[in-house]
Amino acid sequence: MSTTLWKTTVASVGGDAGDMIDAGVLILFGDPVPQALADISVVHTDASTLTRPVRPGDSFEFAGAAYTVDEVGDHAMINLIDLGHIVLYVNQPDQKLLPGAIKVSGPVFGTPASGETISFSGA
Amino acid sequence: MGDNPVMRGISWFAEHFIGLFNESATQFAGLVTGILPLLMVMLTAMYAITTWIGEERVTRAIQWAGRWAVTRYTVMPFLAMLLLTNPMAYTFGRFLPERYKPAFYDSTVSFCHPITALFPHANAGEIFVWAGVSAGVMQAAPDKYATLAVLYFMVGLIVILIRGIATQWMTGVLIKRGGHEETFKRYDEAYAEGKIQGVAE
Amino acid sequence: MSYQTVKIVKGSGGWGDGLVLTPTDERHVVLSVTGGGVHPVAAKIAELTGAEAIDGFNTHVPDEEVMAVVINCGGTARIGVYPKKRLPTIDIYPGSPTGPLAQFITPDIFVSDVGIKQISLVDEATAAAAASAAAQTQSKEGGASDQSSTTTATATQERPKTVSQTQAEKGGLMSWVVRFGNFIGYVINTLLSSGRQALQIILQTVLPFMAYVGLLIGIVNYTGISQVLANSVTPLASNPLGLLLLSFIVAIPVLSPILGPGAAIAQVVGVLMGTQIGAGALPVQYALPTLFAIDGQVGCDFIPVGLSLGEAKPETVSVGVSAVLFTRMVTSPIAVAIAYLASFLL
Repeated sequence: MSTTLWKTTVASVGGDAGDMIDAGVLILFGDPVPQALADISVVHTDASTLTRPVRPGDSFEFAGAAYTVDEVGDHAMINLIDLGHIVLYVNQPDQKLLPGAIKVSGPVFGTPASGETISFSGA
Repeated sequence: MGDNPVMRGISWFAEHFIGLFNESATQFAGLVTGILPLLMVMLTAMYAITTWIGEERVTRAIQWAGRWAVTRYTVMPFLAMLLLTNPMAYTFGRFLPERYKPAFYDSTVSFCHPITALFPHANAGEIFVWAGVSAGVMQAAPDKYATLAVLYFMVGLIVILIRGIATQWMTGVLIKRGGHEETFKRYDEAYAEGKIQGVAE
Repeated sequence: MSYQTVKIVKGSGGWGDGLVLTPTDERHVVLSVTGGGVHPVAAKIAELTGAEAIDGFNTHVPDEEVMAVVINCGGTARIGVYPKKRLPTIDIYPGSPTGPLAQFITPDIFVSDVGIKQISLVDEATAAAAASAAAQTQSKEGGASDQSSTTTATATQERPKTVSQTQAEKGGLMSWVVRFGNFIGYVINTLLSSGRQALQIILQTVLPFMAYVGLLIGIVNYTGISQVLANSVTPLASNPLGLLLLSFIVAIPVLSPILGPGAAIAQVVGVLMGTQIGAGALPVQYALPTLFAIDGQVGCDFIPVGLSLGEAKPETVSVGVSAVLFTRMVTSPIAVAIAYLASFLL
C-alpha cells in the first residue's frame, strides 16, 4: 500500500513552463510567487504538509503519469517545506544532481491542467 | 398567525439560526479585540528585534550553546525558535553530532508552544494552544495572566531539558540495540573533523 | 533618502566577478526571493545602500524598480530567471551556472555564496579618488575661476555622493545629526517592515483560525454542548491524576503522530479548556498542567521532516523517530507533574 507524502493542486501553468517541461524540467512553486518565477513554473495551491522526507524509491504522480524518484538533492526538502518549491528532472541520470532538485524516471512529462493533483507517495 | 405550528416552527428556526451565528460572532469579536491588538504589536516588535540581532550573531551563540547538554536543550532551542521560528528552527540541528539530533528536535519542538506565551511570533500559526487556555484565565482571574505566561515559559524550559536528556539517552540505547554503533562512530569522527554540513567557511 | 554604493563579492565557494550596486530613484528595491520573509543579506544591502528590501513572495514589485535580487536557489529556477532578465542576482548558496537557464547566468550579473561578510560599502577612498580625478578635469576645463582649487575639489566631491553623506564626513555637529537621522531612518524602516510581516501572518493564519474557533465555540455554547463537554471533561481535567492520564494517552506512539498535525487538536482543546476555566467550571490553578497535558503529542507527526531540516542522516532519522515517540510516554506525564507543582506559585 502506498501512502501519500505530499499532495497539491495545480493553480496555474506559466507561459514558459511548457518549454521547460519539454526540456524535461518541471518547476513547482507554491502560491504566492513572483511573476518572473510563475512564468516558468507550475504554480500550485493548498499543498498538504509533508509527512516525511521524499527519498529514492518513492513515486511522483503528475499529469496522469507515475514516476520513480531516483535521487533527492540536499536542499530539496527545505525548499519544498518552505516554499512549496521543487524542481524535477525526468530521465536525466547523467546530469549532475543540483541541491534543490529531484531526479525521476518515467514517461516524458505531459502538460498539466489547472485543478489537477500532483503528489509524492511512499513506496 | 402566531398559533400556526408551521409559522412557529419557522420562527423558532429563524431565531435560533441567527442566534447561533450571533453567538459565534460575539465569540469571534471577543477573540479579535482581546488577543489581536497585543499579538500584532508583539509580533511587530519581535520581528524587528530579530532583524537587529541578525542571523550571524545568533548562529555563533547557537553553536556555543550546543556544546553542553544543559544549554543544548534549553538555550539552543529557545534561540532557535526565537530567531528562526517554527519550523525553520529545526535547521539548527545541523550544528550537532548525529546522535544528538533527535534529542535536539524533541526539545525544540516541545518548546514551540511554551515560547508563544512571551514571544508569539515564534509560532504565530499555533498560538491558540496558549491563547485558548490563557483567554479563560484572563476572564476568570486577569491578575494571574502574566504570572501564568512566565510560568508556562519557565516550566517549558525545564520540560524541554528533561525531554532532551531523556531522548538523548534513549537514542543511545536504540543505537546500541539496533547495531548502529559502528555507523554512528563514523558520524562522530566526521563531526570531530569539522565536516558539518551547511556551515560556510 | 540618500543612496550609497555597495560592493558584493563571491564567498569562499562562490562564483561570479562580484557586483557593485547603487540604488536610483527608479531602481530602489532589493527583492528577497528566499521565502521566510526578507533574508538578512537583502536586509543588509538595503540598510547600507538606503534601498528598500521587499519579500518577493508576498509583494509584487515591477522589474523596473528592482536594483538586485537575493535568492537561495537550489540550482534551477531562480538562479536563471533573474539573470535572464538582466537583474543583478545574489545567491546565498554557492551556486554556479547550472540548469536549463545556465546560458543566462553570466559573471557580470550573478554572484554566489554571499553572506553578510561579503557585502561592504564602497571604499570612501576609491570614491574620493574617482571624484578628485573628475574634479581635476573639470577645473582644467573651467579655466580660471574665482574659487580656490581646494574648494573646487571639495565641491565636486559632493557630486557622486549625496549631501547628507558629505555632511557626515565633515564631522562635528552636522555629522552627528546626519548619522542620527540615518539611524532613526533604519529603525523606522525595520519596524515598518516588521509590522507588514506581522500583518501578513495575522491575515493569513491567525484571523482565519479565529473565525473557525469563534464559530466552533459559538456552536458549542449556543447548543449547550459546552455543558455536556464540561460534565464529561471536567472529571478528567479537574484532578491531577486525570491530567496525568490525559497526557499519557496523547503521547501513546500510535496516537501521537495522528493528533499532531498543525497542532489543530491541541489548539481546539486548548480553546475548550480555556472556555471552561473562564466559566469557572475548572479552577484557574489547572491552567498550567492543562497546557502540558494537551500537548504531549507536540511535533510527533513532524519528526522525520524536522530531523531532515537538521540535515540528519537516514540512520539518525530511523533511530530518532522511535527515540522521540517512546520517551514521550514518560516525559509527557512528567511535564504535567512539574507543571502541577509549579501551578502552586500562581
